[in-house]
Amino acid sequence: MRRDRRQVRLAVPECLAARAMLGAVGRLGRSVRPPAPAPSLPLLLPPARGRKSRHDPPAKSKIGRLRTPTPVDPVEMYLLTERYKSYRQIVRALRLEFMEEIWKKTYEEKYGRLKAIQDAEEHKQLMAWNQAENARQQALRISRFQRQEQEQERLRAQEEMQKAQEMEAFLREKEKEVLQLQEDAKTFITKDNLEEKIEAALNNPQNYNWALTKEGHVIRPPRGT
Amino acid sequence: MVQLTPLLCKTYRAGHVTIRLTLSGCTNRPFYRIVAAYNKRARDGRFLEQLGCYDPLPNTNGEKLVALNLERIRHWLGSGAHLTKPVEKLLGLSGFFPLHPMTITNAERLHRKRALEAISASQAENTETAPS
Repeated sequence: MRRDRRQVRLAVPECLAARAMLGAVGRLGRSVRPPAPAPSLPLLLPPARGRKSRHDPPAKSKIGRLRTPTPVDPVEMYLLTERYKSYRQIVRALRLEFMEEIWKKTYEEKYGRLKAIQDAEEHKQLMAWNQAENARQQALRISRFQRQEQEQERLRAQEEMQKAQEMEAFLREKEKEVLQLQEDAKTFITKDNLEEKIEAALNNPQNYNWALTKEGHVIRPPRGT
Repeated sequence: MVQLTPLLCKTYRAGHVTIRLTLSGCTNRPFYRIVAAYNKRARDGRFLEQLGCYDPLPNTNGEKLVALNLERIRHWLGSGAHLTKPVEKLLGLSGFFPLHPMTITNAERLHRKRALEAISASQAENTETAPS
């Protein structure tokens, strides 16, 4: 005696289709079953589900029992069928999506490995090439820096030499000036020389009465005037 | 002599995986576990994987707690598991599935009943107050 409401036990080879149909109808639920006969024709059926199986006799209290079909609201029934249609559509779509996910995963695991290995190898090769390129660039950069440093050293040395030369020239100029000044200092008028220079200037009158032409000839007044 | 025909008539029908509620707990204290199990197994027997639980008695805040491992439920549904009505209703209420039609219908029926009761209660009040 099994407590399984949904299973209907029939002889196997003939009634598989009937079982499937009945199973489907049973799974639909009480409210969605095809409409029962009108209440004027009540059914006299023995109960085929519940605690007792078909082989257990009905109780004595149920001898004159007449079953009337459950009342069904047609508006509600229509709404229910529509709702079930859309619900089942959505659930089926969801289920198919989940199945697709699983298929994709299995495919990935089966064949994705190869692709992963190939990608890893390609990546390794590219990385190695990149490393080589980096090393080459580094060598070039180092040589360039060395050349630049040498160039800078040379320029610095040149500048220093030039600076030293300039300093020497400057010093020479200054020394010349100093010597010139020393020589000039001999003709300066000081407090000691003042009286003697005045006497000398008075004794040797200079004549500034001369002019220059544009060509540069000196013109003096004729002698005698 | 061995009777072979009954053995030959019996065909083997393989079961299928179902996501259903397994009852565990104590007397007067039910507790359901949402479980993926083969269809033919006992209700509380061996299962493949537990996917959640459901406490039908409300807690101190008036909530009935449900736990769902959605990742694994997706996996089992994609592998072709069936669902029972209570599990469908729970998934619908959680938002993972659309709301079950019977949930909506029962709610509407309840609303209508309550409206009728309210109307009848107000009518009863009117009839009480009118003669007095």
